[in-house]
Amino acid sequence: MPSYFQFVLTLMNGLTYGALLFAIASGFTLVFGLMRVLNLSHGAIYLLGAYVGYTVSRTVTDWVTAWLPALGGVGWVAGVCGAGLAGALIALVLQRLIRGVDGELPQTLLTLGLAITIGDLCLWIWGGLPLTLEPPEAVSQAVRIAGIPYPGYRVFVIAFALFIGVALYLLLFRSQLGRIIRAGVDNREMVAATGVDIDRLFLKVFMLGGALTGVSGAIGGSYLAFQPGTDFEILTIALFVVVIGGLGSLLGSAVGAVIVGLIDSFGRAYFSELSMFLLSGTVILVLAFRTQGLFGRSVERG
Amino acid sequence: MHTEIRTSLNERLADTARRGNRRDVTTAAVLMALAVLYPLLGTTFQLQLLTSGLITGMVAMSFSLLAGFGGMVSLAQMAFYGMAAYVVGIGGHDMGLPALLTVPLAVLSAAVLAGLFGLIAVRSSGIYFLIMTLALLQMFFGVAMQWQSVTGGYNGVAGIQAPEVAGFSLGDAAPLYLVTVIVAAASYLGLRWLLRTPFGLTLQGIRDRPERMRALGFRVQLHRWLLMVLSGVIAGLAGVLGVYYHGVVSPDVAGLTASLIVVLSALVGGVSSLVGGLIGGILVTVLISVVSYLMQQWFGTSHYWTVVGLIFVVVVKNFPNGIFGVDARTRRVLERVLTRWTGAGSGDGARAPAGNGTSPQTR
Amino acid sequence: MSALLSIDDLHVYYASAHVLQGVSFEHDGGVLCLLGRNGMGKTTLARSIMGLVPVSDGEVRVRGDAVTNHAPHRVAARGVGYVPQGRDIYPSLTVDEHLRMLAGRTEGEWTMPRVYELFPRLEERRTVHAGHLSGGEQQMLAIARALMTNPSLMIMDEPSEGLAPVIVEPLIEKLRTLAASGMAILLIEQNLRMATAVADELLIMVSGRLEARIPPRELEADSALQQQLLGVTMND
Repeated sequence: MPSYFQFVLTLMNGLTYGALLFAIASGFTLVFGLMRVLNLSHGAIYLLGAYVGYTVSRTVTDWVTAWLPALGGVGWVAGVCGAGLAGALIALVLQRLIRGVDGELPQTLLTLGLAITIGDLCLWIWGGLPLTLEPPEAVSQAVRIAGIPYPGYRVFVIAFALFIGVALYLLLFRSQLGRIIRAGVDNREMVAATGVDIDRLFLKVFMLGGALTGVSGAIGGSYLAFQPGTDFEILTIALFVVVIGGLGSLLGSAVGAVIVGLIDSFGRAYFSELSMFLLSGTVILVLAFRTQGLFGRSVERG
Repeated sequence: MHTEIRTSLNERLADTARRGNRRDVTTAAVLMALAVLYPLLGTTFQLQLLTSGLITGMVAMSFSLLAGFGGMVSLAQMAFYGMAAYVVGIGGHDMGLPALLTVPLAVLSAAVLAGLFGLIAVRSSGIYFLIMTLALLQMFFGVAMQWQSVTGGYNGVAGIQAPEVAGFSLGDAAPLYLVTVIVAAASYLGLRWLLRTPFGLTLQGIRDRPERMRALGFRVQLHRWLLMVLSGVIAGLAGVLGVYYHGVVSPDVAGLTASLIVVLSALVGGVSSLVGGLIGGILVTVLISVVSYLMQQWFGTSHYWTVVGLIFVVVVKNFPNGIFGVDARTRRVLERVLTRWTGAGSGDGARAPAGNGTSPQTR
Repeated sequence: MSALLSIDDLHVYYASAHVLQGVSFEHDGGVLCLLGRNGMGKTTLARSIMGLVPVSDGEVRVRGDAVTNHAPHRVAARGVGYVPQGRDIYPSLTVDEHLRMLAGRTEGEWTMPRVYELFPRLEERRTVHAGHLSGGEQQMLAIARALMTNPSLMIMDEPSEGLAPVIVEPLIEKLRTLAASGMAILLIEQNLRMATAVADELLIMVSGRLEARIPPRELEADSALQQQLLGVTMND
């Protein structure tokens, strides 16, 4: 039954993509929620993470397999870590740049410039060909789901997203830093007036978001090919996710990610030319009825 | 009930704005004469650079129109440009329709698209407006990319022939340059006239004091929407010129890079000035050309966007309201008149600084 | 020994409006109440002390150290607690989280048990999200939150605003308790009952300037002065 086969496969692909999108969008939405800055270089950080992950992974794998062939997977892990580091580093630079700029709109526009620079630097360093990282065999064994063989790595991506979701939940709702972040989302002026250094808080959240995005780049880049232009694509999809789910809401970005992942997957499988229409239509439909997205709070607080 | 107040407010505003107009008109006439005579002196390369700069400048002007006069920072302007360009490309090239039909259709399409986007976007303001317009721009990009049977996908529509005007082909540098100068100047003068009418002054009142204008009975969202459509027309005109200039249209017109150029041009010119957009467009086009040349000469690379992106960062960081923000004086006058006619200053003032007199932060 | 808080010729502008026009005073313990009508610059004064609005000219000193235009957290670290106008509690945090997020950040007598002891009502509602509290409870929470920073001076901006008289009375009691424990308070008020009930001294503010510094009794006795300075009388 090829149609059943196709349906389950499309569903699984959609969920996997949704999982990856959640990991990407959570950092995006967290930064926005706290600082009201839309990081337009978010897609570029993803792409940079993928490229750095690729290079680190290749280098370390070559080096390790020369000595201990059995530990080849270490290279990939190193690549993922390197990607996170690169993302955090860019976020650090970005936060330093933004700090002296007054107002959310100029701050947001500033990130546009950085996005273009990072994108062009990546093209400069890594060229224009599509690349992918090679995940270790331990996570790439095929598994059977609903009677259908499915690439194990994609299941790993779902597990990764669940892990990120739980970790972020614990961070936000069970830790001291999380309480301060949530208070800052509600009213950052007041948080500052109770003795919290708001710039340092921003820096932490920004770097966390950057690291998460960089790691997502390496994880996503291990099964989705990346190339120049991926940065804009990812920014687009991440923005759709948070706009549907509600800006600044973690739960919203989880739901939005699954919705966007499924629409994208089914759209591509069944209406190849029109998947973007479907996705855009959904975004417009949500906005027409709820300007603040599905889980967003009242929007006009800017 | 508020009609009387509104009428007198409008008259006061119009009167204030009318003064000191004459000198500007003379300056504009001299500039115009110089611009029209330029082909006698300039090389083809210079003419092309100026044409391209003016086209970018028109989009930047449409951006400034929304940002500086409506308080709406829109990243969707290149979608309107792209819409018009695609209509000319698909209609003229793929379907063989005459330019006399495709050009008005293209501008109309851009206006309609702006109207549709506006329906969604004008309900939000500030950073949320920017986000909505960015999402809409990305939708346009995505559809242009994916709907291959119509748009030609990644490659877009190529080989678009420019029509002839009075026996001169717009495919040649000088005629296209002259037409561009005329269209850009006409757009600028038209907008300038419009902004001096009660409609335009109401818009500026809405930008500065939306709540107060709403309380006075002005239809704030309708005005914002009309402004959006108007900006779509200007960007659409630029799209028509742009597609004849390049002979190609691809999804890249709605990419981040294209939007960066528009915003940079508007910032360089000063968002509170319309003519600033045109000047900014030319300056930025020349700047990019120079950077590209120098990168090639010094480093032997074509990766000048790395540098242009950094220049953009520097400009935003140091001049968030534009390098030549020339209209601050006019704004102060308007602010004073508005304040006098709509009641005393605002409350304790502590909670709501009523706009700090510079556009991009106005929300 | 320098005063706890001293303000010297403070000027603040909003756009082109000159909101504070050379305000000077000292506050060295007890309850000092800043009275004035709406729009006279009272809230701006509080916010400029906290570093929440930029000061154009003049100086704010806490125990002799200049904190003019310092970041809000540095002002808070000097021992200035802030209870803002409109309370500004965090709607998505529970009562407990409001206090817990500040627990252990500063040394001093105000710990969570101590704060709950002062506000038993808050302890009853510790798991409730602050957005669901009543206006009076939100005000208590805003004060409790400021106490958690262990301040030596509390700036309270119109704590009685929007509260029914039956709720204002217990609030007055709490402020008296705090004052009796030695806490210095700068109270900003429009409510004459509240001001005269707790204040040791009154500062009268008119159009961005301080017009008078008088004992509460003097204002209480003179309804013409009340009318002139504030546009209200005790009987309003």
